[in-house]
Amino acid sequence: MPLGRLERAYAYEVAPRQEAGFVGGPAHLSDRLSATLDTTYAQSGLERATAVDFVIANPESGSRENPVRSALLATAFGTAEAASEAAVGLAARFGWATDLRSKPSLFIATVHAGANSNRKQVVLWTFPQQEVFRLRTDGADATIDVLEVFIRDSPLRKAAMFTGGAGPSDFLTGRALDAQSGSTDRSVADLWIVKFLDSRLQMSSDEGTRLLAQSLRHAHDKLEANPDAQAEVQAAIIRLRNTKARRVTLAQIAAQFSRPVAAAFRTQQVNTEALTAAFELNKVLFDALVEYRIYKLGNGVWVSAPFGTLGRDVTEEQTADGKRLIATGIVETERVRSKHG
Amino acid sequence: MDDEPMLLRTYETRFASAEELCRALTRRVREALDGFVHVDRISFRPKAPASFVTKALSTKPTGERRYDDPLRQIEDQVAGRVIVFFRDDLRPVTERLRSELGPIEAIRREPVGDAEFGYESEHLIFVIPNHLKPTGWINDETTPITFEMQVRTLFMHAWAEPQHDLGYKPGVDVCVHREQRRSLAWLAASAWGADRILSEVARELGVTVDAGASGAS
Repeated sequence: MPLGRLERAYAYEVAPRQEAGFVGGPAHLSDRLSATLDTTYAQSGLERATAVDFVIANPESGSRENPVRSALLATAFGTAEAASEAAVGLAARFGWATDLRSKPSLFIATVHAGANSNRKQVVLWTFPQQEVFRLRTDGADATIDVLEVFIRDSPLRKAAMFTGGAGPSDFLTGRALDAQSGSTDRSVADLWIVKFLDSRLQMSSDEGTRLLAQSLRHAHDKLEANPDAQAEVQAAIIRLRNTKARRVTLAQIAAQFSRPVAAAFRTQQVNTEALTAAFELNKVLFDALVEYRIYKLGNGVWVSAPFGTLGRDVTEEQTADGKRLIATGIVETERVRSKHG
Repeated sequence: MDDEPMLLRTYETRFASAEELCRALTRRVREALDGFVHVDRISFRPKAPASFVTKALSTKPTGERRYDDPLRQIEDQVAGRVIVFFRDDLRPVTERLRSELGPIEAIRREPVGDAEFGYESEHLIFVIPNHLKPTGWINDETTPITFEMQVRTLFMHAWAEPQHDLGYKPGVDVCVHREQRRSLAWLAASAWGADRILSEVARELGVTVDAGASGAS
């Protein structure tokens, strides 16, 4: 869905922990700004970004209240004054959400025409400040200036988009883009979606973990005749068990596979949204579902036992000396290594 | 009522997608409640086309239409139900659904008066996750973005479910005789009492409150 006609825009410079006194305000709606926003949107992938739902803190009230949702509705449908006030409120909320490790950012809220006159699109952007050089020349003399500017295509930029009318069923869900949401540092990972947007990922941790395990298992079973392809799946399991990333998507995992493995991996998902939905990997559940074990024996032998082989081809036996492992099967490939490791 | 044929036609066009969505949501809720042994059933249904049209054209006491965009605004076009054995199971099951799906509404429906007995249920409204939407649903901007869920005990369900066939509607007296009214009142109170007693006996016999399997941390 492309962005509709630009109707309102607000821009503020926001420093970490800043609560008031923002530099900025309603922005002049020029063709150039509109074109730049369209390009930024098209390049960002926001249209296909992770789906998020607003957290309704008190669902018993039936009022569907969420502070960010209220501000977005006011920005989109309120009077010019109410919209401006709501946009400043969003900037202040972003200042509150950031910590002192962050640099100042340019915070932009834009309102676009929706599919019909009752509907609007609201897009929120943050572009971090970075130092850039500017070269000036005057004849043979060159001067290098160091400027602090907001970077439009910074990998640290964040965005969110919400679409709908002003009714109770509108602006409850949207899309959020944040390259840092997979960060190992929870405060960094949660800054945009959880803390600022007061939202939750649509795919829950257990749901995503189950889907991931099912997809891997399906790919592994389907590629039974292709040991190299199965080895790719097994390697992915080991990587996932050791990953420190807080959030993953199935698309990120599929991207690491060769074409046949990726194709087999994808067949378990209902639609492409399942691929781009971020979720928190539940490693305990993942281990339980994939049943993938790696044993190191006292004699230096390593055994890895993938899906469903435990208890069938690989069995454990309690002996007086400890647990004894019995693995049986036909050797398909073997490698000789000059050096261990 | 020029809208009626158009609404019916449009709704019937999306019906197959709604059925597909119901299957996806059933799988999702079944997974979310994995390990809850006191769950009698989990079911989803798309709203019947005739029922949708009746609701879409319903009016407020002022005579105004209740919905100006019913195809999008009516939230029980896709609705699910979880039936549990005991009253004590309502809370953990509801809590699990809340934590897994994040409700936008969670309201307990029950009679207001101290001496009243009647319909009881936990009503929840959730956003339909994009990754569960069939293609026909996701590509249609006029589809609702939410679905409804009810969580009830067997006895709550036993009282509530036949109401449709009896023609019961809240606030409308369908009974012809006083004895019919008294019989229904006795049924409602009996279902409420039986529900309580069953839960109490279960507690006394040491039946553990259903906590479900925890796949989570």
